[in-house]
Amino acid sequence: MSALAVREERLTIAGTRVRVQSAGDGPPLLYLHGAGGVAWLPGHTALAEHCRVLLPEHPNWGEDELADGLESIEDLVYFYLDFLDDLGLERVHLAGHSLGGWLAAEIAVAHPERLWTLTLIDAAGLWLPDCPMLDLFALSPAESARLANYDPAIAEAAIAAGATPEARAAAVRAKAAFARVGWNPYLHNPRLRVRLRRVRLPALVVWGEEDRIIPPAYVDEYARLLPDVRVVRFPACGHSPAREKPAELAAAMLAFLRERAPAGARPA
Amino acid sequence: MEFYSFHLMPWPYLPPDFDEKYASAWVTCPNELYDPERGQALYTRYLDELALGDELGFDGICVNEHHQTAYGLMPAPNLVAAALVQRTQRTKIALMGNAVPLRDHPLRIAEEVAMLDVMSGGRIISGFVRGIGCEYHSFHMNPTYSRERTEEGIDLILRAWTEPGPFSFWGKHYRVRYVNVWPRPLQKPHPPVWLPSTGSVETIEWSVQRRWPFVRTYDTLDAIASMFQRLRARANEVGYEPEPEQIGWMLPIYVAETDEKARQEAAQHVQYLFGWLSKRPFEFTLPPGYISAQSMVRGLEVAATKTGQSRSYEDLLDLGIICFGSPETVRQRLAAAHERLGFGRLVGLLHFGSLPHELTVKNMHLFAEEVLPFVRTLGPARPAASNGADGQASAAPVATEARA
Repeated sequence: MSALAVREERLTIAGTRVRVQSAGDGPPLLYLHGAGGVAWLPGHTALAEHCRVLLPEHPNWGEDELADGLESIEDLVYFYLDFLDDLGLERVHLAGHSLGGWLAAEIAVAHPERLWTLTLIDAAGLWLPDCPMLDLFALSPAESARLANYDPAIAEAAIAAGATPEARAAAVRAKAAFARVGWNPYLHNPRLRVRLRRVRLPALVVWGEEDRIIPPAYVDEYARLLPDVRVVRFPACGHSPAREKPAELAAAMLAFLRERAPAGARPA
Repeated sequence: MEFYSFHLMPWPYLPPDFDEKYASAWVTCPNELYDPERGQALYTRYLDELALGDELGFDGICVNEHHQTAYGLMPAPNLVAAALVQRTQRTKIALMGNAVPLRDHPLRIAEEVAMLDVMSGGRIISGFVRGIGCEYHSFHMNPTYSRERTEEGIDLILRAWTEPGPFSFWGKHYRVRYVNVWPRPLQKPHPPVWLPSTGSVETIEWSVQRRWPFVRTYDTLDAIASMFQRLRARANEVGYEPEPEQIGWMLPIYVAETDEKARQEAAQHVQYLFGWLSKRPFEFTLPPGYISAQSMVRGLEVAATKTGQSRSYEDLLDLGIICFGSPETVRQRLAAAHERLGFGRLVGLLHFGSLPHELTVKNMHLFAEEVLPFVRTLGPARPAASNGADGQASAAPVATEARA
């Protein structure tokens, strides 16, 4: 894999400061990160070989104070519509992981005309009472890392990386931002289930088969509710395929985009 | 100096293997450990102990609110207060307090406290609290809104007590077209408001701005001193010198015939409070957004340096978290603390942990006879607003393992 320059910019979108990492050329792929915070992972690098990957940090996630007007997943949907407008992006491929997957599904429900495709990766957003998502608010960062990653070595590396004062402070800010939009209802919107019929787009749902945060039962639910869906599962993978199975994730996404995106929006 | 006795109504019958078997006495502590048969006798006993404060001439008796925990069996403090109204004649009843943001409708608090005030003939003190972090797990209530719901809820309650109804209240969290509370409280303009607190910067600020008594729950004497100094310094900046009555201190107190007897009788029972009843993971105590990000980061730094070992009886004494001993020892320690802290209201936890009834009653009598007359003589003390180390107030309310 060739060396790839990741740009980092600070933009102001609708009065809100936001940090955006990006790399690559090709059709724009907006990737929405999960509740724990933004990180440029090997999976992003693999995708950026063929797409222009945009990885913004959600507003509030990097801030000491939670902003008025950014208090729900719906507020984040409107923020990202502003984001697309301000960057002059009429349409994008949209992908989201975990909480970011929930957000991506909400955007797809509300404004499918801004998207070519939708990719949900170990996504929150739905609720199965018999199979609840794990309560991340009751877990320490180390406990969360051990449950999120299938490979113990990856988990321990993540724990070590999180042990600095800066990383602890970032995790505190991210968790407050997560709580603001995802405490109750926990990581989901009870209305999303009936609205997913609106996603008249090619959708890809990918999942780690060993996900203990959002169990694979949720794949089946998304597969049942989305009108046009392909499902890919990764064995020996936990909650974060972009971390644990970067090549496999990129291969699955790129194959899907090449096959299903309209001409002119296909990655090379 | 006013003296109030406080009761937490804890569950004293946790099994001997509690520590090995359970990670928390809060939120997830299985309620099968609660036995309603024993619970009935326990409520009767605890109400007796609270009501005894009336006979002994205490200025007030205090109850509080916690949820889904062995730490305290008063999820509804107003219910306990209603029982105490019937059992007492003169003493004030302090709600320490109602957890405002946990209610979907703060008018229920306005109504219930007004009822208690009228029924008691104006003997109610209305404390307002946010509830500790655990309650936000227990009620699945978003902790990032805790502070603004508290401020808005208190605002609604006070207006409901003081403004002629009906009027409309349009807040962010509470919207009520017809605010028109029946009954209205007896005390004018309304029952006294207290702010019991583990000591967040924001609560100190409310106390300073509204001049409501700030009652700090037990902690190390250093931590308490730094909080009180911060309050005085802020009040001075705003332009006044707080009266001693604006500053209250709550801690476990035990009086026995000798220091050694106090230790023999009470050490294990106060360890039950600090060790078992206070046991819970950091994530329960401080959920995200419950305090500011900066305070939370400081709290994590403190937590990272701690061993997790509970403190010894000697440490609890030496750090001033508890005040136990002979009458002379307790008098001396309270006098020294008063000199340093300058509190004008003393709130004693005369029952704590697993202390049996007989020892609780003995403690209350000894305190009333041997210590209270002395406490009454403690006049105003006005420590300087800033003197060296005490001025270094820490904003992170996580310095001890136990939080009321």
